[in-house]
Amino acid sequence: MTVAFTVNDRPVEVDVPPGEVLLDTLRGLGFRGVKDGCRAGDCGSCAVLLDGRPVASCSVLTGQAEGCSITTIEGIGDPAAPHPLQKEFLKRSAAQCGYCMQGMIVSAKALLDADPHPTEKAIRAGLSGNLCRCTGYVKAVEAIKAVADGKAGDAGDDGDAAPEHAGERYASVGRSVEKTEGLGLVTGRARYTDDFPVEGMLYGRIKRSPHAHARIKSIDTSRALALPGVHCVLTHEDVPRVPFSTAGQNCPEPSPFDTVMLDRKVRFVGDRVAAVAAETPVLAEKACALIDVEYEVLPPVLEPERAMDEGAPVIHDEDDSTGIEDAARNLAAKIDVEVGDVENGFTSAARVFEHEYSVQYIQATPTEAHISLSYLDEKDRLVVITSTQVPFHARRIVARVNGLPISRVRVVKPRIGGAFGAKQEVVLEDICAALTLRTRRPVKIKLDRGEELYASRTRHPQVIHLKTGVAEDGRILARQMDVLCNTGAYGAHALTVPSNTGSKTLPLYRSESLRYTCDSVYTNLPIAGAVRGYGAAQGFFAVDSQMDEIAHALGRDPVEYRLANAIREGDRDPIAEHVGEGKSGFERIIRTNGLAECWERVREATDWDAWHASLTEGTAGTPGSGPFVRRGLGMSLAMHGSGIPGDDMGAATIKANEDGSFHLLIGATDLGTGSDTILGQMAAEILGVPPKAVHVYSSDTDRTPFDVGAYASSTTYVSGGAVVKAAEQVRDRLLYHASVMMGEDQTKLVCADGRIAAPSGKSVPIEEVAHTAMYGDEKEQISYSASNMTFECPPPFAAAVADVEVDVETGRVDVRDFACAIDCGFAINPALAEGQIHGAVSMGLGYALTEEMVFDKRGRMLNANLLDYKILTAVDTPAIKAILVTTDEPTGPFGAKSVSEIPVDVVAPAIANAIFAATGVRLRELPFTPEKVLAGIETLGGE
Amino acid sequence: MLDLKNLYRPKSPEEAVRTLLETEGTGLYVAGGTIVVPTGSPSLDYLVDLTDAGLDYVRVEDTPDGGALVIGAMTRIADLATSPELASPTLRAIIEAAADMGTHTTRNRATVGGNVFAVHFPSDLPPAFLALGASIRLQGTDGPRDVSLEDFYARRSEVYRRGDLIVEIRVSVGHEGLASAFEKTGRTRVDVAIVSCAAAVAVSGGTIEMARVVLNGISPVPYVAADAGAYLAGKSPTEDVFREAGRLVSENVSPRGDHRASADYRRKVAGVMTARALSRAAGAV
Repeated sequence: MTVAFTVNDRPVEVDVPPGEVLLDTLRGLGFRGVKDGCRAGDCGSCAVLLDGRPVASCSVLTGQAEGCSITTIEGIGDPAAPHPLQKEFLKRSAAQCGYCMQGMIVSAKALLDADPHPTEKAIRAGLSGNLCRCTGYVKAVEAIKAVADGKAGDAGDDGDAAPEHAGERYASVGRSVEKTEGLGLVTGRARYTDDFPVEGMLYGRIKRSPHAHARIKSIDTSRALALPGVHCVLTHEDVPRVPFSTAGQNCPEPSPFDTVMLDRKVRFVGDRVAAVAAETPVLAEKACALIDVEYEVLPPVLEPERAMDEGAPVIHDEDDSTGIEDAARNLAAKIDVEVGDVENGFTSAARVFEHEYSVQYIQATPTEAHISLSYLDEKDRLVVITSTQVPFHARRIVARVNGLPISRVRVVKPRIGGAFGAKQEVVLEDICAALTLRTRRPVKIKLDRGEELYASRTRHPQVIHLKTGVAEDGRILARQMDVLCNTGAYGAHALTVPSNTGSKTLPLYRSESLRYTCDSVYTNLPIAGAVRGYGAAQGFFAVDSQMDEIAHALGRDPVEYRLANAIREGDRDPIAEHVGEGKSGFERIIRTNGLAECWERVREATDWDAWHASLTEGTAGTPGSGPFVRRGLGMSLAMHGSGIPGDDMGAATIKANEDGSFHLLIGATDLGTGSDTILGQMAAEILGVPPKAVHVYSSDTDRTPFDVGAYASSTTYVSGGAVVKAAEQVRDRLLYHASVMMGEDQTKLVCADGRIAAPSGKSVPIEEVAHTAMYGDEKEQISYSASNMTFECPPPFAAAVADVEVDVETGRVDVRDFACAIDCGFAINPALAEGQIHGAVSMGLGYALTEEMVFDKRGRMLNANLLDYKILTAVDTPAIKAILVTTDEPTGPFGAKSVSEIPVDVVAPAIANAIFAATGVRLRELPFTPEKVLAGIETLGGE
Repeated sequence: MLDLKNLYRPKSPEEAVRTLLETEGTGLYVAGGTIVVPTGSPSLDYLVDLTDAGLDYVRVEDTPDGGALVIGAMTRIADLATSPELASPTLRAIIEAAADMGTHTTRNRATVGGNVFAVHFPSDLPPAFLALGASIRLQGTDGPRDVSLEDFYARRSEVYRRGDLIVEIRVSVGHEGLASAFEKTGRTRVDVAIVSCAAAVAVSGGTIEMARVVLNGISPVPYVAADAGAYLAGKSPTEDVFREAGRLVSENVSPRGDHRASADYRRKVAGVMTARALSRAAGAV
């Protein structure tokens, strides 16, 4: 049908199928800032203004827009003339991955058009349909407020401040410079995998299992193949059978090789059965429905507690998997580490505390679901453009399972709409490549929102049994953590995630002896993998809930008790050398520890003191904002790591251009976190040029050096070390050329403020030196590569205060305030570091309160959409306070440690402790749904 | 994923009904599209879009019983929430239900008619309309007719015929001293209601003259708590009385549990929502 409307004030007439939605029409017209997030009207990534009002364009038929005026992000401003909102979002680094930001800016524009001076509440309400997973909405709300209040431009980097740290005066690091790709993010010009137009592209789709556990007796693809426009159907009969692990980890991989591209058996509802490539998405869906499969349905294992039972169905009964601990017992991996003698410790303890905590299935829910695009280039090499955290691991895995040499595969990560661990996996790349190799056509596969939830990767559910023996004076004599970990149908991170549950959390409080055991079992449920916090988020819920319980039981102040027992500077981490990444680890000495200051800062930032002063003896909580509301404050502490010692490696190449600008090529993978920006800042600092003079290109296996990718909080620390090394070598060559030009001693020259200067007072602009190096007598392309690996893993430290109100009649918990302080060493870019805290805290709030994958008795997920899988909106999220505490980590670049994961760790225990403070109810099972809170209140009332 | 053969845009309710009934294949009306567009089956052949049917209005009409608020079925939720015609204690439940429904993008598209028609999940407007004794005007092949909203939910197969189109919702505003309020609880502030409740209370001379309590989320269609209404008539409007009404509701409902909340939890909060809605409604008189 023909439809006419205006887009960004220009008349457009389109001929579209009657069922087409506005999202697809607009993207087809080239307005690719309009993003595909959930196709159900729940996420707002596709928001546009329809006659001035924000609407989800995925839920409007194009034909319904006849005669309307449509404004997309592209019409609000462009890179040459951005709108004030776009400028302010840019200046404040409000956009991280940027995928949801275009929709958010569109909403903000409508909001300010209707109400030029909105309250914060109105701003949040005006963003209620824009889900964001990176930012906790904090900087976006601040940016909108600043524009409304005429205070735009006040925040961010003004270019004047010269940050000082540990006696050094810096020009580039320590500054909140704008993100290097920021302008593209806020104007809708940034390119994500879905935005690459490729001629002749086919749409791939995966046919998925309706059964939790079944054997495929037969597959008939003839009806699907008979459908005109269907080019290929792949089943287990058509692809190589190469056992592998989908996890993008080190090589050799620490996880079992228990997965093949397509198998004769399916192990969870949503497992791969077949793959289709067709000319349209509708055809691909129809083709999947026309594949006839005969299953032999097997009894499933749906409870991890039953997985190791005698006679339980064996999930991995294939004979070619390797690295499984005990396949016959569904035991994917096992850990048992003891330091000191815990039995002895428990025997001599004055009191022993024993509790069980349990944590649920969640999914990271990046606003951009997994998506891959593959094609054969003009040299017949396989190119995979993909939304991944691990391009180099993906290249290795895709090559291996498809029988290609690594040199024939190129993997490129463009901009990516969030990842948070879920994309540390080969979820689509292998099968997308197989479809391309078979059809010799470009193929794109994107997961729909439901598939993203149940068929990508999730956080491991665990049952954590924690036993602690304390002496009369409160010292911890023994601590034992026993974990039952559910890895789901495959063991992608079956060993390494639960390793971190113990190794990241048990060192926080000194104990004379420690034991950590874990059974990581298979079930016929979705695959667990990496999610921000990586095992530690689970473990800290138990550890820091129990520390609160112990302190109360001993009559000690929970804060004083924690700090008295916390690990100190100079301490040796007792467990680090025993539990590494699937093998033993390395000695870890704590060289910097800002824990006490972190605590002081969150105490000051919240009502901690005043609220405690207002408590009445013998009563839980204080009155809240309504007649049936009680208020309480809780706190927690945490530590984490910076990369995987002895495993992670990042590399950087820097080359000088003749105008004094530089190219920084890095394998490191920016997930929206800002790593491109901060790595550029590090290079700029050493080269003595402004950050804008460093052009960053990253994550392309053909064009950038290797990096393990973005995981384990490693990028600033590990990849940053590589950038520093490469930059120092480039700087030394510049100094050499300058010394020849000026006739000065090279060892006395200094590179700063765009010049190279000698003690004599002589100086020469870097631009001139670079020009001379290239075109002068010696003619040198200054270019150096360096790689960095370390056996160190300095922990960042964290403290948090949660201030909650509990409706004691409905059990609903509202978070009034949340402050989180992180000792991340020296923050290379404070605004971006704060953004990491905001995002991780908001994700932690969802983990604590609302997020949960719910399954029926046959293993089907019941809430596989964003209406019912509840991630928090701007309305549900408090104005999270992020506080950076500086220490000077001697092993880190410029004194930096990590920041990205640790804030998740503190949230659930802080909320649990706050609910206890408000109501006296101790909850040990996440998430704290209204229902569980109310049940707790009723139980307490009945006692 | 929709795979339509046709999308029609009739210019009047009459044309809409005719189009729906006379087109071959499987078809539906589409209002805002927030439900039909993303969840519509690929086997749907056509949709009849009501954008141009002239049903986007809110007005007060004079009637023999003191006037009626008339809301066109294509009125967007966002517009309803800000309609000056609704600024009265009597109609407050409607405003409250509309203002907090879903997200801002949904409120900008979703319509009053769609919200009343769909029973996919516990929608927020029906309890408010029912508490105020609303009726709907249906356009059928033989012209328009009015049906009480309560009948529409309780006896849909009898009062609703294939092709009937909801054209407007009518709420009598002539009841002096009638005031209403709406309460809901969800897993978050932006959520489908686990349980919602609208209460309308008329107090006269220190006693409750009439009260209507309607809940959603505890049965497949909105639930009119007649027992609570009967209990309240003639009582003093006190907190204790409203709590007792809530207790009665909790006792008498038999909700079903689902992935959002258990039956037991719904039962408990049904009473809480009832007491709170009654209390606020009475306080606003």
